[in-house]
Amino acid sequence: MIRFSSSLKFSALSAALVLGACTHKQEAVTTPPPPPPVAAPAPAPAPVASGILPGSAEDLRVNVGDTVHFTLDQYNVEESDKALLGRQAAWLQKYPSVRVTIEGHADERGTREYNLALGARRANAVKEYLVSQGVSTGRVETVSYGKERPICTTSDEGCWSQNRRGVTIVTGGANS
Amino acid sequence: MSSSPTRAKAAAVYRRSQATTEQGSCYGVVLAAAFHILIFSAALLTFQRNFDTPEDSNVVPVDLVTIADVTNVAAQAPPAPAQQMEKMDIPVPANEPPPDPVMQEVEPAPEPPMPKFEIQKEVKKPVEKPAPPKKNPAQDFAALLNKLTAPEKPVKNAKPAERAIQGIGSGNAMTANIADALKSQIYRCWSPPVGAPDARDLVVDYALRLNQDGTVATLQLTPGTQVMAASNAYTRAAAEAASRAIYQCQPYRLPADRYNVWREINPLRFDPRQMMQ
Amino acid sequence: MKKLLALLALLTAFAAQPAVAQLRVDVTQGVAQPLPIAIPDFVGDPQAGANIAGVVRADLERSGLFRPLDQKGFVERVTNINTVPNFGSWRSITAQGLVTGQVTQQPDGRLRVDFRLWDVYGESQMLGLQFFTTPENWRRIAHMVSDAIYERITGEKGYFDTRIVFISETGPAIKRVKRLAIMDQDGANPIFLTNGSYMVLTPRFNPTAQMIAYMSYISAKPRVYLFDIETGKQEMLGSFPNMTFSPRFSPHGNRVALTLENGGNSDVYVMDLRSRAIQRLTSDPGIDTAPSFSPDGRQIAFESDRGGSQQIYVMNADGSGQRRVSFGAGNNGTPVWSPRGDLLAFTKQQGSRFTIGVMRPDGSGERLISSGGRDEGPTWAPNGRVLMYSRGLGGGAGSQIWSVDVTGRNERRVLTPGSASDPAWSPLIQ
Repeated sequence: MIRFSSSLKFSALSAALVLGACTHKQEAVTTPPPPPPVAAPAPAPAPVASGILPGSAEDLRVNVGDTVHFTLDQYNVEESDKALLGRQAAWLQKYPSVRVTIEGHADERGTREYNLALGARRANAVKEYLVSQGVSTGRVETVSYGKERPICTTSDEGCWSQNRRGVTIVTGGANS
Repeated sequence: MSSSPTRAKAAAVYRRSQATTEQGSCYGVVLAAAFHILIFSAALLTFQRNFDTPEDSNVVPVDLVTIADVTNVAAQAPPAPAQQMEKMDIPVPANEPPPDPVMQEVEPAPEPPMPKFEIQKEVKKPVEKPAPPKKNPAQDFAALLNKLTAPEKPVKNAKPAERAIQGIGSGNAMTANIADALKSQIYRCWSPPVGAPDARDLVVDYALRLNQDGTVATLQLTPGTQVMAASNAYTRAAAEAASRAIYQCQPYRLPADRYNVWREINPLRFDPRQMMQ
Repeated sequence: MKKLLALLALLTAFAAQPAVAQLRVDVTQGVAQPLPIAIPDFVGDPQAGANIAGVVRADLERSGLFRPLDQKGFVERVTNINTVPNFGSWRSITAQGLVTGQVTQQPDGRLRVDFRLWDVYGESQMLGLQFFTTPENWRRIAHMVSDAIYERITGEKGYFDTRIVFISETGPAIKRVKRLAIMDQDGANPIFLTNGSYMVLTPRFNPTAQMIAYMSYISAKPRVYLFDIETGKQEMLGSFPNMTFSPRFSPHGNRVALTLENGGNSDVYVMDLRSRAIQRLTSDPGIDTAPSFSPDGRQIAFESDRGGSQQIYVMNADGSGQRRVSFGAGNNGTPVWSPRGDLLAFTKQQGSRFTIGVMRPDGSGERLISSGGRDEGPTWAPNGRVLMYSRGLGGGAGSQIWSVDVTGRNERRVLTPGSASDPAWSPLIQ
């Protein structure tokens, strides 16, 4: 899904030389599931000087933020996440050809079937928020992974709270 | 679902009337016991019975089942012992559709003929003593009971036995002690049947005659149980489990001077319903 | 396993009929213990004879209701299964049942298997059966022998000639590869049915064990699919704009109940497999999922959080009469109707603890029967006496399949190749 041309890799590499902090992120790109965003639910936009192509999937993930979180058994968008989703909506309006899929995820506390349904509710809540911010509904799909795609596996609230998430994934029309 | 309550009620009523008519002299105790049974069977019998009971439980000497040559899917992969399974790596889906095995014609039965289900046999003196049962608390308890109910020095007086025959007065208490002594010896050999959609199918009655040395002389299902066992695989299995218990735990140690009391036990009932809660 | 159930009977009947001096005795307590049974290697073909007897012993032992005795202690050596055994010698080693068998190769290459089950105390033959099959099919014959013995001794149908479809899991938890897989009930003959390039979940057998309904993420679109075991063909069930999941066949196999998500809301539907017509059964804003038909096809149990927490509900198969039946502690979900209709198995969740339980379909008589703490997704053996389920190991360590008697006894692991979850038990093959 996220591919780099060799030139991009080169520029990314040189950027990494400048910004040591980016090195870790670049490496993580090689594993399909997006790595946990550095703890903070609403990360500040990364420096623009990273060499990330504007309007790319990476741009959304790194510079806008792709993940929101939920409380246990809930699927309403948290107040603290609305700013991030607002930025996503603005970004999507800036790049009108981009299409996205919202992944809904749950923590391990719930049966397989219930969590599939819960993930669908979460993904849909994110979609509805984006649509309420002016994104055309046809550009946003949803998919639920229930508890099947955790990003961490310990049985404590710190981990569960990371797994209860909605992730916006660019699926088409992005610059690359 | 809808038939369950009425059925439970009918069963409970049946139990109660049986208990009261038979045991008028111990009315209070019996009523309490009957009440327990009533509650218990009512609880138990709300289980629905809509699972087919095995239709054909008639015993045929040798059934013949033939399986067609064609393999089923199960046989496609080479049989792997459990230990080798950790190495399994068979990324290919099964593709060949093997038809189901087919029943074929019955061939004549080889020797020996299967006896009908009806246990009625003379028991020779056991060649060897049954293996001494393992020590366990239940057994200790049983042994204790034996001491209480089967005094080693029998009373010379024959009168108690006569009273027992009459089944009145103080004889009842003694009869009850003998019944308890017998129960305490049988129960540890009885592994109750695992279950049935209708727990009443698991209650079986035997007529048991004992020799004076406590070994089984004859053992026969009562006519009622025999009829049920002929058509109900659960009842048949329950009857056989009870039979195994009776044979396994013989000889029974009971007071020799009361032989006339325990020579014939009828019915010897095995009722696992209390245990199935 | 020898669970002692002490407490003597409450009731003793007394000599009641003065005419005949008969003692009445009610035995109401016993000691549940596995039946000691001797199963010497079958005679004839020594290799096949040892193999078949070995599978039979393992089957019966796993059931928890039998205790196959060690052959080393046998006094009598069986050489001819057409003579009556010396019962005394079998009694002397505490055997209560004896199985003698013979395997011979027929001139046409087929295997012939004969066996007899003897009542050692009753000194009688309880059963005698004969099978013919191709040599590769020997394991199935062994399972059929086990089924026959089990049924004859317990009165219950056996469940050994069955298969399990499950999800085979490999790789780390955050990148788990999940493949559809199938194996015999005892773990033998495991085969992958999908290649792992897409995730699959919640497989269920149809009543003939030839078709599997499951959820697949192929093309990143989670939908219910059908897998034909005979042909290997996969087919999406219906064409829906959104996720479909949690499928379950009707008892006749002509319909599939499933969950359809629309706009974030999940409801239970039923699809006719021939006409592909779909009927909506629930329509409230809560999560309604995990449907399971009663064996008579008239009712459907499912789970819903419409009341604020995830609980078990029952409705008529047309969607009418929806009512909550679980009122026990915690959340209760994934109801699965017993094949004989008397119980619902379910997953109870209390905090992060998951346990398998059973209750009557009206919600009464709730009992927890598993002990893992991360146990979910029960499935019934076709005789309604044994269940399997997934047991998570926690910390991303994967899952195992476990089985337990409906009484809660005899809980044990089912051997699978590697990590495994979501078992579904087939009906008896044939």
